[in-house]
Formats: sequence, C-alpha cells, structure tokens
Amino acid sequence: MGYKRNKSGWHGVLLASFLMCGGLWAGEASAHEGIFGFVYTTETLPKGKWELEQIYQGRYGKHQGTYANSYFRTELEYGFTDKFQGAVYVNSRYVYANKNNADGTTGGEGVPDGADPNTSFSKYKFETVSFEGIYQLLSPYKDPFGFALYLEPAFGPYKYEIEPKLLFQKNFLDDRLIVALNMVWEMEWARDKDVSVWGHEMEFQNVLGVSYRLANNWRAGVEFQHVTKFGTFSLRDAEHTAYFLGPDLHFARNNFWTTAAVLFQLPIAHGFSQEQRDAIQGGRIFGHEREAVQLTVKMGWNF
Amino acid sequence: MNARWRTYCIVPLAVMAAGPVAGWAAQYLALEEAQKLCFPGADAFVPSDITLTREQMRAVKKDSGVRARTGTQKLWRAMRGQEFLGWFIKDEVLGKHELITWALALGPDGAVRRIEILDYRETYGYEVRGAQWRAQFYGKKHGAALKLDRDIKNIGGATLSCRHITDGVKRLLSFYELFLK
Repeated sequence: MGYKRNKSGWHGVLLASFLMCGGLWAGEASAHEGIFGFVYTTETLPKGKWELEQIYQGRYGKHQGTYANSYFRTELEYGFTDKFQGAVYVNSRYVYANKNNADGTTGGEGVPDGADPNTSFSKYKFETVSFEGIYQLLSPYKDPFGFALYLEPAFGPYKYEIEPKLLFQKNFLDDRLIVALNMVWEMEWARDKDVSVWGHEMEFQNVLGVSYRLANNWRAGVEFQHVTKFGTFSLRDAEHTAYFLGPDLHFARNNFWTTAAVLFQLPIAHGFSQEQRDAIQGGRIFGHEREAVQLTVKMGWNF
Repeated sequence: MNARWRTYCIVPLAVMAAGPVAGWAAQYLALEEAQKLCFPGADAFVPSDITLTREQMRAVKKDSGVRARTGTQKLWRAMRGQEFLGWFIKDEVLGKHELITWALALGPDGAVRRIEILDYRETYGYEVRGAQWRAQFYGKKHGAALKLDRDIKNIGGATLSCRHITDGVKRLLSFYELFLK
C-alpha cells in the first residue's frame, strides 16, 4: 500500500488549481461557521469579514501498538463578497507510531519508508500551505437547498494536493435541523524527503452530517464518512472503501464558536485486492492510511 | 515543550482566550422604549396576552406556513384615552445562535405600522435594525407574500435574520387574522 511512484509533474496541479480558483472568483450570505467536525455547510463569510480558525484533526489506532497522526491547521478566512470566501491555511503534522502494523513493525502515514521498523517513530513537521475558495451558488435560507463549490489546493516541500468539493445543505424545522452533504475528490502528490520520485493517489469521499439545535448556542449531531481510496488517478485502481460514523457537538456565542467530532471506523470495510484485504482486521481496514478513530476539534473567532 | 511547539501554540491559545471574552450582544431597546416608538401618541398599553391551544397553533402554522415557537403571545392594546390605536406584539425568532427579540406594531386595520428590534445577540446581521429594511414591511397586511427577494429585499450577510424576521411578521399577521381581528 502507499504511493505508486510516478514521475508525472506535480506542476499540473498548480496550473489546474490556479485555473479553478480563477473560475471561482466572481461574484451575498451568512457567517461561515463549522457546525460539523468533518462536513462543510454552504454558508460563507459576509463581505469584508474575517475569521481565524484553529483546527486539530487526529487519527488514532492501527492493528496493534500505538499510532497517532495529529494534523494541525491554522486558517484565516475572508469574505470577498457575500457569496465568495477565500482562506489560507498553514498545515503541520505530528506522527507517533510504535509497532502498530499487523506484523508488529512500525509504519503508517507519516512514517517514512526509511524509518527503522523495529523502533518507535515520532516527528513533527511543517507540511503544506493551502488556499481555499468557497463560492455559494444557492442559499439554504432562500433557495430550496444550499449549494456551494469548494476548492483547496495545497503546496508543500514534499506534498501537493488539490481537493475540489461539492457542498450541499438542506435546512428543516425553521433551520433548527441542518443536513449537509459533501462530495469530495482529493488528489495528492507526495514523496519522502530522501526519495526523488513523486507518488500519487486519490480519494473519493461522501461525508454526511445532521445537526440539531438543542438550545440557544448549542448544536449536536451525527456525521458519517464514506471513503474510497485509489492507488493512482485511475478509477480502475480502487484499493479499499471504509466507513466512519460518530457524534459531534457545537457551541457558539457572539463571535466565538467551537466544535468537536469523533468518528469511529465501522466494521464493514472492503478491500479490492488481497493486499488490502490482508489489512482488514475485525472488519476494519488499517494498513497505511486508515485508523480506528478520527477526532476533530476546531474553534473559530470572527472579527 | 520546545520552542517550536511554544510558537505554534500561541495562535490557538490566543483564539481560545479571546473568543469567550469578546462580545457582540446588544439590547437596543427596552420594552417601554419600543412601545413609545411604535405608538408615540399612546398614553396606555393594556396587557392582553393570549395563550394559544395546540389546535390554534396548528391553525397559525397552516395559515402562515410558519411554526409558532411558543403558545403564549405577549401583546398590548395601545390606547389614547378610550381610542384604540393598535396592537403592540412582542415576539422572538431564531437567530443564528440565540433568539432575536423584536416587536410588531399593527394599526387598528391590521396593517404593519412599525417593527423594532429589541435584542440582537448575533455576530453578523445587525443591519436588520436599519430603518430602510424595516420600512419594507410597513402597510403590509395578512395575505401579503412576504418572501425574501420577492417583496422583501434581503441583506447580504444577514440572510438568516432577514428570513426569520420576515417569517415572524407573516406568522403574527396570521395570528392577528385568526385571533385579534
């Protein structure tokens, strides 16, 4: 499992990103606020408003031993129009792994191929700077449903990524109940520090969230994630599918909000090759990319 | 904790500290101030609260398309001596995080006379207090469309507040039509 080595230029993603970002620069709405941990709603920041967001995304648990992959994101958002917001992120990662593979060795995403498989591994590193654009085409408050386009290209010394998303939102019960669906396509180019060739892979994700307003300032909900991983950019190279489900909790007051969500992998994973099937244990897939639990904690400050 | 970690933690810690401290909540008008603005000639506001049964609440929902939040509607008869000037209704609608407290003044004929925002506690959208936006409702009666971007203009960045206040006016006009007329 892992990247298929390929010398294809990553600069294609740069060009595609700029072109797609350019296409999005056109262009009203309400504050963008992360009421879900893993799902985006279709709302955008009002024109001229800023938001600072701090996000922690953790992934824990492999076959055995210890594995913790902590992704830190600091984001600054700005509302260019009432329908279009842009953002810049600084992303870094801390990985700790110790004898977590099925065979008792140390590995997983963030552990370089050259690391000693028989000892623990830990490293904190800056990963990428990414840019985000969200353009709202339909408002959940005025139209039958909300719809927005999302694009996030990321650039780093050893990793390039582009992530287009289709965001859908439908509100019920006078906006007390919010249902949101994201369809995500993620393409990634990456290499280890001491390896010259770039590997590439992609993922499709469907992420569904349901959030209910429990009381003033408080929301609680459930989120579901369906991921299909491909070893290359070809649809014929599907590696596995995995499913996650869990609760979330959101608090907002005045200009501050915070959200926490935890997703547990469901024991219904499917591997499309023998290698992938070997990475399934108790119905859950681990191997290089998947973990037992995903956690997101984020907070935002509007100004 | 090494220097790199300390540096990285400054931003999130600053956000956590600043978030709960900064505040946007505002009480714009006390009840009596709102009543005076709506009916400057009145010398008395007679409490006339009505508690709706579930059946009556369903009737309001059926007529207006908007769910009533509570069974008890706070209202006053605005009077000048023995002359009936109109109804003053205090209400609440959902804001993004909290409730927006507002008031609707109706003339004796049931037409909207004035709208006032008493409390607004949201980060954005306080533009609904603007006189020009509120004036769009004046003269409207039961049966008016009251739809954003149709007969009521939306305010960019305040869509949720605009929608819920517009729905609130529609609901209270149905309440008037069914129980006050």
